[in-house]
Amino acid sequence: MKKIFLTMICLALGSIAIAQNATLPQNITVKALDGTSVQTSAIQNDGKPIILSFWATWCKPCNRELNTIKEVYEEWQEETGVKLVAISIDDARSASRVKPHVDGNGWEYEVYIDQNQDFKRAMNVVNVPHTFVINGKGEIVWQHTSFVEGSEEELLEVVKKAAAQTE
Amino acid sequence: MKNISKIILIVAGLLAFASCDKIDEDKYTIFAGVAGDWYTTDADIPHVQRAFIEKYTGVRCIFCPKADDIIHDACNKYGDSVVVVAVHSRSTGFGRPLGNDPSLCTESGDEWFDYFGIDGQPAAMINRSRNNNAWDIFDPTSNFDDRINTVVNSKPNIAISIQCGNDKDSFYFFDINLELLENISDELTLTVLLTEDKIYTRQSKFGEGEVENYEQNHVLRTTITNLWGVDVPDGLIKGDKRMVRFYYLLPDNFNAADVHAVAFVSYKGSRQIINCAQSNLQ
Amino acid sequence: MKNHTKQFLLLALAVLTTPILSAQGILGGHVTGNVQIDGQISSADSVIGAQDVPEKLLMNARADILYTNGDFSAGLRFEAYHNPMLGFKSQYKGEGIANYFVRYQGDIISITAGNFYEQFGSGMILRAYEDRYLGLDNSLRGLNVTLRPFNGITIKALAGKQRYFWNYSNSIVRGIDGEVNLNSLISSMAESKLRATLGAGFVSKYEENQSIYADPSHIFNLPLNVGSGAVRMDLAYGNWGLQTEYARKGQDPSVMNDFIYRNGEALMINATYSQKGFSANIQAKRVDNMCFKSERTESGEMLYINYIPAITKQHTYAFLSMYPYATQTTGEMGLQGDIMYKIKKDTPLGGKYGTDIHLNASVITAIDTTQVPGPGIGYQSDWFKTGELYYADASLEIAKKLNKDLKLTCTYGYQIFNPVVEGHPGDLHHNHIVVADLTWKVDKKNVLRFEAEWMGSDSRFNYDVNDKRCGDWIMGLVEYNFTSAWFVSVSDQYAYRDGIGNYYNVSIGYTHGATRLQMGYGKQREGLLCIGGVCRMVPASNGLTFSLTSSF
Repeated sequence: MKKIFLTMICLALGSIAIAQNATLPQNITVKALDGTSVQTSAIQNDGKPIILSFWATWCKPCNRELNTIKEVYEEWQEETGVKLVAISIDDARSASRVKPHVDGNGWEYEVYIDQNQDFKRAMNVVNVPHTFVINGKGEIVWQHTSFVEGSEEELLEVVKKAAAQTE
Repeated sequence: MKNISKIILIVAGLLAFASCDKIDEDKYTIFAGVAGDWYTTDADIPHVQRAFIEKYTGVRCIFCPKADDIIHDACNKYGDSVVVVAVHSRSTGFGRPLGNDPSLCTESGDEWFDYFGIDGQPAAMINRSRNNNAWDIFDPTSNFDDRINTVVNSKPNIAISIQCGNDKDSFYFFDINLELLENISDELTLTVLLTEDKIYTRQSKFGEGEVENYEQNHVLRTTITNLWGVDVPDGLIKGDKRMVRFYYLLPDNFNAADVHAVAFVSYKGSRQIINCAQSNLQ
Repeated sequence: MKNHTKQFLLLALAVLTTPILSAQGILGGHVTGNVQIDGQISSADSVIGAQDVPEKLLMNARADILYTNGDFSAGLRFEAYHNPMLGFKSQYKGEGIANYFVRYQGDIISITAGNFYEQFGSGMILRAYEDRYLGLDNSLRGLNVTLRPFNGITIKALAGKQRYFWNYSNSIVRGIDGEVNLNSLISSMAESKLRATLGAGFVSKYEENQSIYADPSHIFNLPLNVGSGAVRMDLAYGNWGLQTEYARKGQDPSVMNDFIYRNGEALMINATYSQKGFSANIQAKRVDNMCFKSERTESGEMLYINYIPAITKQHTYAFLSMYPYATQTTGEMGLQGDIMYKIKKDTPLGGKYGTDIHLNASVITAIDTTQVPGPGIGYQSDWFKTGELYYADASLEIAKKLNKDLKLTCTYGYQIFNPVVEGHPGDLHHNHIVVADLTWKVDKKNVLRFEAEWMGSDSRFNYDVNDKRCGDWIMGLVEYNFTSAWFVSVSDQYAYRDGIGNYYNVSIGYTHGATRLQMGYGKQREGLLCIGGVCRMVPASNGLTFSLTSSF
């Protein structure tokens, strides 16, 4: 059985090559902050890049990331046309606190709640924060887990590149 | 799509109604032992001393209706604390039926009649107590409140309770729970019997002759255990609780709504009754 | 053996077909996935109660492979536990395909066959979910259908068996749920300021009969079908929001409720007000006999069909989460309030960057109960009366950016903790906790973080040798980050008064894209690891841990 496991790992690593240009899954249902169900196909930005950030109210680095980006969000939007979509993975314990949390922090992002974590699973998110950059064609061009102050610069570079790709 | 939604809603409705079992209050547990075997139990048994009033009577006994009235008053007064059994006896004497009425006598009743040496009816005993080495038999046509009082106000040595039910049709079960409240070294026996109320027969009555449709209550109908009871396991000590179950197929001529099950525990040697309990069949 | 063969075939199929399908581009599609490998080497330490591990190395590993092609997707998960890490149930020992599914996900209908995760409303009657850190996987194996016949209506129907380690429970779980969003359904409400969503669900469990003795001569007359239903409402009006859900459960005697026949019920109400820079939220709940498991004799944390969330704040600082609160599904009442306020920039209190204030308080008690003896309903409960105190806490967090490079977060917390929630009655613990957390952005690539914590607890006055948390504690932590790629942290927790324990830890981590490798060396206190009010006991450990996660 160990062999199988090794095969599995090989397969997993091998498929990284295959898995290029994966796109955003289309028909997964998430909830908007007003309770409306929204299909993930609605996550669009008119051919401009999207930052897709998985977070949770209780996750400190997630909050640091979203608060840090908040300071520079307007500049980024002007520069690259980027839109940040924040996907909360809060479960029943804290899902009702997502809207107060977003408002309380003054975030101007598009926020959805993925309470059943279907989107999280489809995107292979293991830990939060997990941030994706999606180019204008809807392809996932970059992803990263964890956040430290300063790494938003790296993110901006990727977004700029993605914006350039589309043009 | 509309149709699919409809079908799903209907299925959902059916599912909602069909998929939830409700167990009735008195059926939370099912007996899983062997009838007649004794088991430990953690049942809650009220620590109450009751009086077992055993009345020897007969349809041809003209003073017996008077005793019935007195006993009726006692029942109203003491409620659950008294258990009455009317033993119609001796089939060759006052117990012999009038006209075409069916006999209310039983073999057990006749045997007790003989054993206790009843020499006239009405006659009564409470808890089969003894007085100066003789059975304390008294005439129940006058008030005997003081006798009942003495018994029901004494401290019980044994607590007893009985529950009845039927698994299916007329197959009834009787669960008897005992709790020793004191250490008792004597051997004990348990007797279970059935009585029935509201049996209407002719009855001879003083001053009125033969009355039609006289209401006979507490009539001993049968013993479930044998006459002198089954042995209670020995070696029990204070605080021990035991239960035993008996089954009985109720004959058609018994009206289940009026039948009571009576259980009493007595000393095997002296045959004096220690405590008793009764329950409706249903 | 048969089972293994089947698994092998499935795996072989997956291994062979996925690259072909995707690489040849005939069918197109993508293969994505994630891998996680955790390992642990622990040696005995009598002071903290760590046991020797005979295997020397313990390892948990899993890999999810997901194939997506348009509306179709299929996935499988391989899990291996050689042997399960400390704190994970030994029943996980072994390896195999733990989870597989195929799914069609269209606009109107989506169908999943195989393992799936699902939740009705807030999960009070059904939540099949997993939490890999708790070692919990309640996935159902069966069929799950979601219908969206009109805009604004969602109907879910499912049937399946619940995962139990490497097997499945011997019961069947069936459920249906409908949800209506009035704003999407009714055109005149589309632009309404009032946003309203209504929902209702029903779940039923069928489990075969078994002989469970109520006393030596009686077995319980068990309901084979146990039903549970809930209604819910989610309203929003401008800055205001109100969510409520009420659930009931039929007779469900189980080992969790001591085989009582009482119906269960749960009510949860949440009200919020929020505007930019300010939010307030109040939450109330009452839970009575709502433990719903797919096997009546399962006493552990497995096989939960439903999920009753804790409404206490999920703390992340070490000392604030040292005494975590676990939901008492058999009965509790609770109230929680939460206020977030941002003091504006360029005000006397706000300073140049503004100040964030976060206040939270909660109190949880038992429900009132009057015992009813004998097999039966168990107890009676006065709806509005509270029982003994289980847990209360209040915390104030102030976060302030001091200048361009320095950010300070200070937290004070006070807790009252009743050890009965962990199953052993005792005196209430009263804890005071102070945390200071300073982040210093040295330059664009180097970030330092310092954390200092203190906890004073009256648990030290009645020292319990079995509770390694007794005493007064201090903790220090220094974390150095080089970009988001590298981090090194050193920390120490020390019971400086009337306690025993010196828990030091050194960790180093490397992140590249969605791959993260982390190693740590040190001592870990035994305790409860809780996520979302669900907890698992983690024994003490002493040694090396490592963790690799990667998504692709």
